[in-house]
Amino acid sequence: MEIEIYFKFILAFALILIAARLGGEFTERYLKQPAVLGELVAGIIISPFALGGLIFGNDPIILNFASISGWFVLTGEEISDLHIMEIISSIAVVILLFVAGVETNVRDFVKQGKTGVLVAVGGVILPFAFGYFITRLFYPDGPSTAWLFMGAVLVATSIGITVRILMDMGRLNTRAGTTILVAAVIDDIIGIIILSIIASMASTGSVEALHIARITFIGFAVWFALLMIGVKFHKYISKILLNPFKRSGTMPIVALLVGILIAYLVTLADLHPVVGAYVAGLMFAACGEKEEIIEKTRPIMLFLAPFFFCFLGMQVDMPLMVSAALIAFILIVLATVGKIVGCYLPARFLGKLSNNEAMIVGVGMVPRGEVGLIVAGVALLIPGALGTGDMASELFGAAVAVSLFTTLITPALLKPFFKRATAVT
Amino acid sequence: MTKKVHELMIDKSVTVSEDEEIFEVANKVTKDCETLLVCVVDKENKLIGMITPKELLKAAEVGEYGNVSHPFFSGREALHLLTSDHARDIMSAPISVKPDDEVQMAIDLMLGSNLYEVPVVDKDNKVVGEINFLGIISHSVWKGSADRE
Repeated sequence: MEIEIYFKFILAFALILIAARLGGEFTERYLKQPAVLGELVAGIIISPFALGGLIFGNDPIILNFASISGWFVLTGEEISDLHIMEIISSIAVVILLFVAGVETNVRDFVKQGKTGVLVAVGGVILPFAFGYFITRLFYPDGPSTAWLFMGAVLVATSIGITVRILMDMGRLNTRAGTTILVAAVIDDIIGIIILSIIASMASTGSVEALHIARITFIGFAVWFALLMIGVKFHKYISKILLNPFKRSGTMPIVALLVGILIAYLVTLADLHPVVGAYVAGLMFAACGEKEEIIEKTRPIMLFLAPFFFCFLGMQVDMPLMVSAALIAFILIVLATVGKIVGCYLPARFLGKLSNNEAMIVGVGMVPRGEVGLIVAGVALLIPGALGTGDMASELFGAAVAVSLFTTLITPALLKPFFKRATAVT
Repeated sequence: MTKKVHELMIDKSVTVSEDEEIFEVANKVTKDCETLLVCVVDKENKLIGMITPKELLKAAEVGEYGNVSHPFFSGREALHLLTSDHARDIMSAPISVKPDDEVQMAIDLMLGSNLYEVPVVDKDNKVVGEINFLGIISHSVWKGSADRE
């Protein structure tokens, strides 16, 4: 019996992954929504605050997800050492961002000119300001990192759903389509840069100007250095690092291992590991082996990333969400309005898109998904970053609600503009 | 008894420069269907990349049919394919064998990278032809039946 209890985390691991896959499959197949939403909702359902608490109420190990000595993050209990599920979820998010990095080709949006960049910047400033000030208004006593984190949650766009709609309408290959794609990829990058700065502020607990300047500088130095290595020396990376492993077919795994190592190394400079993983991915994106790395590491990501999102969902305290409903609602409205206005203005007046096209761009940028969730997940793992007690749970729940609802409402918001566009032409 | 690559290779290959547009690449492949793998070469005919049928098919998928296989997680693939016009945008890192290499090495490369053709280059990395799976299996089958008789 002893051994069964010790390894019960394997059961918890399997249950989470199975729930995530079922949720993901359901939303993708029947609701035509991104799998990440299903994974999130599956997590909310099986969480100890909901169904999981009822079924496994008497089984502390399943409920605590195999922590032998730790405890659930949000209950505020003291954590004597790292939670095993947190460790798995950290590894999952590092791999997720590494693959995302490899898939990002910096050359792609350099070619597309400035409209996408302007739209991205506009779509970052407004939502960030909204998130920051609203959170500050609601929780004036909270730590300033909580306000910043909530701003950062609203920044990054996840346009998976928009791409799907554009594709169905045969509009992907239009000016609005490529502008959305470029802007979304750029604001992911901006979102991760902001995350790296805020996360390092929160984990070192220092908000002095000098410290902020220092980590911002280090952050940019790391980005720049790794990007340059990728662009200038990709031939040597291929030759020295990747070529020896080609015969055995493990070349992509070696690339991933380098990414994981870099994810750790950047923590020495007070940066968050997900930033290192992403930039390491960008470095490999310049290599000719890019396609093979994506092809072979994506299955690993598809295996582990649902765990991350489902585990995030599990940490949403549903009963507590009733009291946080107001701030969640306001954040959803502001996240939507902020993106539409922030993206419409540059697209319409600086990018010279037509009124209708600019609205498609604005609305298409509304969904917040993976990166917003990653920001929220990172914030949750840094003790005190989202405030203490109920405040952290409420803000985290609100962040999850923002990603869920902004993604769900986008198709309905987007369709009228396509109808108008076809009516005109 | 080990066979060398030069015994089974063919001296045909489709070569393009990295500045050629994707539709020109497609035209060149379709002209002669004996080889499907495109070798991307520099001015001195040195191999710098290759374009597999899979990459051409993906480019056609998004360019002609407006579809992308993995639209989720931010549509990076969509952006990449939509902005790809030239051979260099879709080419991948080259693999190759030399005429004096053993056939086993070509088979390893094919199995390892899911290809059915491998470019053959000389000692200066210039493309001289290719070895494909038809050459390899036709030879093995012939040998097998001869042994039985």
